[in-house]
Amino acid sequence: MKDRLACETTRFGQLHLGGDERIEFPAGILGIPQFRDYCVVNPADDLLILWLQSVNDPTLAFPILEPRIFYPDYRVQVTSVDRQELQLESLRDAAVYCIVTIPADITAMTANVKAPIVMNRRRQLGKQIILPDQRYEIKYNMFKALRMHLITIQSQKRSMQQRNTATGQAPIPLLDLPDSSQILV
Amino acid sequence: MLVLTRKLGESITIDDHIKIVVVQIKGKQVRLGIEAPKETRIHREEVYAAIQAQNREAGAAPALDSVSKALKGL
Repeated sequence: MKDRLACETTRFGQLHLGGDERIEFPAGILGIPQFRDYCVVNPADDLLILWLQSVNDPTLAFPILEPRIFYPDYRVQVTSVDRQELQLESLRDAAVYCIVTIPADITAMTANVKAPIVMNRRRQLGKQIILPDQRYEIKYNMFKALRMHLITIQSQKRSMQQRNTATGQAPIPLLDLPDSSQILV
Repeated sequence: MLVLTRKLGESITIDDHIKIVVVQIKGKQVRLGIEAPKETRIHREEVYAAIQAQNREAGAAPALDSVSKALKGL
């Protein structure tokens, strides 16, 4: 655990972060400018929701989700200023996520498609950008779409497991890799 | 804060690239026209405020177990 930063969190216990696992948001997240250092936590619970955990505040973590899971034709346009700030030479290095708000009634879950999180994984820089598009809502209802997606994945896994049981092989894990093709300049 | 008085059709410029024109004055409403480079992001203040409030709410999401339980019990 040498050279690793111990990071206390209220949801995930203590994390040990390597230097390459931290993402700096130079402007912070809108409304929370005091914290700039974050890391992405994947709880690996098959829910596809990742968490943008503050390195400085153990209680602060944003559930984030890839928009293509619940919004098929979602498009993010980055400006030249965004690209500069993110040191984004290639759009292939970009990952786009939306912050999800999870109220007590989970079915009322919403995603902020108006102000997505864009991260440059290579440079470990992130920024929340506000899209000019009037169609995109700050509170976009997406519980049903996420549920449908999870059901589809579950049934895919089940049929794959059945096939693998027949051949005696371990099931192949399904990975949902961030898609940078959502970004157009 | 710098405060300026402008008449209908008059404008102000900010730096070399941004120009704001008073396009219409109707009762308590003022219509503004804004010319700015396309990389300048322009939003109504309420949009910012709503996003900030939404972020604060999202950042206090419930503990992992309850989320997981609710979504897995599909």
